Amino acid sequence: MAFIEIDSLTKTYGRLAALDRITLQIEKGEWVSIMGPSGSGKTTLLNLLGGLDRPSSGSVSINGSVITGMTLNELTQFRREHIGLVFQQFFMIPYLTALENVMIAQYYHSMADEDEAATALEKVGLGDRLHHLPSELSGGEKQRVCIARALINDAEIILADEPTGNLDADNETIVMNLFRRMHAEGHTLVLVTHDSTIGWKANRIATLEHGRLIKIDSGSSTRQEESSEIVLEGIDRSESLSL
Amino acid sequence: MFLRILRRSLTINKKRKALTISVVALGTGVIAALLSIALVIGDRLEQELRTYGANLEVVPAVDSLRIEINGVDYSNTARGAYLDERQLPKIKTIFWRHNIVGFAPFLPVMGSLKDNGRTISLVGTWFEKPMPAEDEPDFRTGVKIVYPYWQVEGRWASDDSSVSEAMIGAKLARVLNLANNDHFTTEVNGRFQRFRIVGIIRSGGVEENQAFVQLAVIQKLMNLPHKIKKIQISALTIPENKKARKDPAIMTPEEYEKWYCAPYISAIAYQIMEVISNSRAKPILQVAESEGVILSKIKLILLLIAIASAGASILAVASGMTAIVMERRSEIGLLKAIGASNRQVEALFLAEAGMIGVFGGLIGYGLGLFLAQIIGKSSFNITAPFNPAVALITIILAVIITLLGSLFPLRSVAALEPVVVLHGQE
Ligand SMILES: Nc1ncnc2c1ncn2[C@@H]1O[C@H](COP(=O)(O)OP(=O)(O)OP(=O)(O)O)[C@@H](O)[C@H]1O
Ligand SMILES: [Mg+2]
Repeated sequence: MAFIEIDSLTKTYGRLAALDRITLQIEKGEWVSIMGPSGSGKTTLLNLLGGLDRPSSGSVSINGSVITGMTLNELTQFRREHIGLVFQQFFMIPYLTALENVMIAQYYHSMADEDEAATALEKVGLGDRLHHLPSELSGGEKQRVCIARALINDAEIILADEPTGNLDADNETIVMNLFRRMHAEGHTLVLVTHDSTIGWKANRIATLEHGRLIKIDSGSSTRQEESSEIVLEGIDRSESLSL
Repeated sequence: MFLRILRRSLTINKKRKALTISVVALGTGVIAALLSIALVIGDRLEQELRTYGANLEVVPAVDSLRIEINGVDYSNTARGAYLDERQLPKIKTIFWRHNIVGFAPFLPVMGSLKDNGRTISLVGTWFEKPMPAEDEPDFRTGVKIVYPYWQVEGRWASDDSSVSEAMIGAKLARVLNLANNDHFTTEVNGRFQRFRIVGIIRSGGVEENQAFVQLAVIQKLMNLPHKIKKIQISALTIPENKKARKDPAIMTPEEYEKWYCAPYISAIAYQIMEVISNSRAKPILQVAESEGVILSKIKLILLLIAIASAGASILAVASGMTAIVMERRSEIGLLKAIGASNRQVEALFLAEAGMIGVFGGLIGYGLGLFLAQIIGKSSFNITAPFNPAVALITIILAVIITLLGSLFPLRSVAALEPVVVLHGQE
């Protein structure tokens, strides 16, 4: 059984199927990119993986636990222990500074460590923005705070929704290096992106369209025993995404 | 970290919080005012009610069968039993001496006016006689203290017997066509005595038909040195319960002890009989009982007002907190997404509510103290001093009110699914 086991996952909003029978396995330590046009269900999928949302049908199990069967409290605890989340909208607590926004993740995980949090922010190039409130930060700066917050607890699984969407080239490089290092350290990464050069850095690229998983490609990052994991039947395996 | 979050959260929802704080302050302010007043006037309130007159009467023990018409004793006073005026100071030595507001001795006689031979009732008494007691050197007593509700036109008579002053009832004054500063001469026991009228009494009672003069003058006319016929006492008492009505003779020692050491009217009467020889002290029951009823009714009203204002504040806090929670739904969703449990999120909001409570209580106490001054001045003529215990109770009450008011809004915190708020913001 794979580390993350997504089985026939469906989420409908009225008559709209935001996700339509997605089946996918992700191995421990794997880096998977999720791509697809706007509205194709990428965020919906990520929310279900993070236990923030409940499916209409189908299931997700992570490391043997069926998270789609958990209560809200169990989900919260599961998230706290195993998952680092980067939201597409870079949500922050509006009345806490950048530093404190990172520290609350530590606080609810184990205990707040101001120095560690400051170091994490320095790593994403925000060493001089520690005491700024979210309203005093640019979109890209907020996004980097959220990345630092997601990574601070060294979570096993990182789920990131467009983590580089608002970043300039330099900061994008910084952030991607962070992800690369997480990957090298054995963390499991699921990254939603529109940018195929970024998507390409993964082991595999899953592409959604209208809620369906239409193809899975291999990325540039190589992993042993990768080829044996292709799952979807009846879908062509393209060699790579054309730019 | 928790405190740090809490401190930061002070900067948000300012308007709503200010509003909620003022609501709590208003509610607890009313309660604090009632409490401050209730504490200060506990005794005071009884004293005000006491203005309805004396609640204890002391008569000679053997003189229990008396013929009294219009407050004048028609039994043979010359032959009857008397109390000794010199024992009066002992009343201020009993266990409950501090509850003795005042007392007045009476020696009533009949006299006839020299001018027209009309019979009038003369009552010898004290008006406001200094009677230094051991721990109350300024103690003064007499009818002015026992009957503060008498309306006096003119002034109270002096207790100095060298001036022979009289206060006469309004009805008597009308019948005799007498006014202040007029003189009248009356014959008592074959002797004549001239009095100058210094005050006209309106009481609504038998006193309006009587003339009050100095006790010493009557004693001299009657040749009854130091003799008095009865004493009326105004004492602060607590309403009696069943146990207190029991005969002291059949009480167990513990019961007796308890009863003796409570300011029941029967206990005070008992203690007075212990110090005034050959006396019988009896409560003037109707008055004493209605005082108890009035007091407990006032307490009930105060309690109801307090409960009503606490209830109203709880509802207002609930609506304020609901608004605060709604405004911060996305924050709650985010905290949960990061891994905060329901309980942790609730703790944060409860702590914020607690702070609202503390601030509300502080302001509420200030407000209450201010209200207490206004109410106290106008209704009871008192000033309510700063009382740390009341302040503390007010703050605790304010916190309880805000926490109770927050319970309902916080239930929606638990039910909130993070994705609903996070995704909803797109
Ligand atoms: N709460 C909701 N109620 C109704 N429809 C929703 C809701 N959330 C998402 N959808 C719909 O589900 C579909 C998938 O949404 P999703 O947010 O997953 O898209 P996405 O792939 O992340 O798009 P983008 O690249 O723009 O972020 C969309 O058509 C969206 O309108
Ligand atoms: Mg999205």
